[in-house]
Amino acid sequence: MDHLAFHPGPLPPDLVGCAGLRHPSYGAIASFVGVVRNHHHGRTVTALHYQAHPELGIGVLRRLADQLRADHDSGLVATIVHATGDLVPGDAAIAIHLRAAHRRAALAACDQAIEAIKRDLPVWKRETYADGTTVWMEGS
Amino acid sequence: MIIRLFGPMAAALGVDRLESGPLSDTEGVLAWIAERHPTLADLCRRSRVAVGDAFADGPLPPHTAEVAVIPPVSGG
Repeated sequence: MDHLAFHPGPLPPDLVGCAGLRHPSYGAIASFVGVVRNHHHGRTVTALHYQAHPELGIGVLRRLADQLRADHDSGLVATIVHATGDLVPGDAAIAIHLRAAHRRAALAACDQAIEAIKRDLPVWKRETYADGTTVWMEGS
Repeated sequence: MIIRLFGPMAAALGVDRLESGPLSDTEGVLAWIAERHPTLADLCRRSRVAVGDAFADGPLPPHTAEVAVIPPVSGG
């Protein structure tokens, strides 16, 4: 069963890691963990705030998981959790763990997932810099 | 109709929702905001509209009470 969620604050180790997801039905787990950087375009980042639209976000993730199954492996199971609220450099902001029978499906699905999330997941990031200024970021 | 705002759009106006009269389509929602808040016109051109848990494009379902304006996202 998929686990699609937003998590208040930095992601804890049990969501960043995938040890608890191992199961003999799945020969591969492809993971992506996004970490808050301490720099952006030459500026020192000291803090970061994520705001989300959870209702739309869960809908986006549910449809993404269905698309990944259609494109790569009908038995794929998705764990995708995005942090919200206040984070600092080094914190985990997003964890994607995709379980599939074989590695190629899992890896291709993970790449597709992060690109779709960057494009469609309704989350907005506000960076705070060492000089105290803040900027809302747009996707890259 | 309630128009929910997020991220840079909410920060720019200092509110997280606006209230309009009935609007029939997504273009109308974005145009309504841009007309009343010209500083957001450029952002509106790059924004999408959502109803409930899905993006919308074009005519809104009858009697839609609430929409969300989704400026360019930056998660991940």
